[in-house]
Amino acid sequence: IDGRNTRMETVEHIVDRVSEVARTVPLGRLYLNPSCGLEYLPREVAQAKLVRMVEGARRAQEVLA
Amino acid sequence: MSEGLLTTTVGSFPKPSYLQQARNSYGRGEMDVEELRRLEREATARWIQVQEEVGLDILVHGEMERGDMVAFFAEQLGESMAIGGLVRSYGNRYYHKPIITGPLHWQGPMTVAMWRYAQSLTERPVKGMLTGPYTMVEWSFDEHYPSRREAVLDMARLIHREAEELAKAGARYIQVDEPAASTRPEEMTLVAEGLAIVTAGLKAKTITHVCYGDFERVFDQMVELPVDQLDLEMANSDYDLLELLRRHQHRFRKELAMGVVDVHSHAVETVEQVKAGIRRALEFIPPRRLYIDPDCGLKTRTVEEAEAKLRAMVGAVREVKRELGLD
Repeated sequence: IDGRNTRMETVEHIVDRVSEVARTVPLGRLYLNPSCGLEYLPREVAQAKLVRMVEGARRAQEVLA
Repeated sequence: MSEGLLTTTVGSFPKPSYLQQARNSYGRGEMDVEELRRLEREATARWIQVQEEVGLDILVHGEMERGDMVAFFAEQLGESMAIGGLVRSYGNRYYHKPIITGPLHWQGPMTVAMWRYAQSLTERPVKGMLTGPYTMVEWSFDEHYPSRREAVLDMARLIHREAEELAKAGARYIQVDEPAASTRPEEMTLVAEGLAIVTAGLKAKTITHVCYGDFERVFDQMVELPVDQLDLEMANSDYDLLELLRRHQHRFRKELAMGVVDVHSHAVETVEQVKAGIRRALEFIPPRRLYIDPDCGLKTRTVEEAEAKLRAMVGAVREVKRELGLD
């Protein structure tokens, strides 16, 4: 999740990225974060990105586990 | 005009308190736009008068109608840019960071009417003042373009169109500011690419103002930027940059506008301090290629501080010209 741009990632994009990383790091050792602090985003966008990130994480768990 | 050592300013002047209050009122919906524009013109007229009275050679309109230098343009590009939510800049300061939402394109003149008004008040040339494409993109969010380069190039085409309108209206000097250029030294080539599009074929003399970080690192690209004149801060680093230019003087062929008063300091420079800086530059730059101005825009100073710094600057230039027989 890009913490420096308001462009909203899609769930598919997140699942895609997680799948790629999961080839090297097992899911049990993988944590998902935004790219950096969210303080430079508008508040509503920061919140929406967190919600989207968690959606993406859940979908990735379904698809990969 | 005389043989070089022309004086100018970088672009912004402080807004008088009646105008700051008017902007707040307008923001709260308590003032209509015609009244705000009337007060902006009044404040502009006063700054034109002050610049003439102080004796500056190349004038600016002072940006009474502008707040943030990126938002000012973004607000007039509603078909491809939106004004986003409040974003933290630093400390507890927040601003509305614009968002690129679609293909960037020119929608009509954004700066010409105010330029024309300012120029109508004086015989001295008034600079056209634009924000550069790299800075416009760097200081906005981007929800449309697949790459920064594509956004910067489209933005450059749009700003070029605006520059053409200014030149057509009669602007003889057009300044394209790129304060964000120092953010990513590895992207200086992109900064240059954008500026090349903006300045291509313009009949006016072109200037860019950059705030540099590690100038030495980007020196090669900096001295080749596609503009006629580089406007650089010097006073706030005790003229360190001047020494870098001196060491590589055979590679620096452009005009230099040299900042000789520090816009972040309340202390008003003495005429002797300013003269010393000018004399150092004249050791390796001929007067006809050297312009004298403050380090940066003056909008963070009080009206009194701004005027005092300008008088010190112009006073110093007058004395140096007299001593060198240039007047």
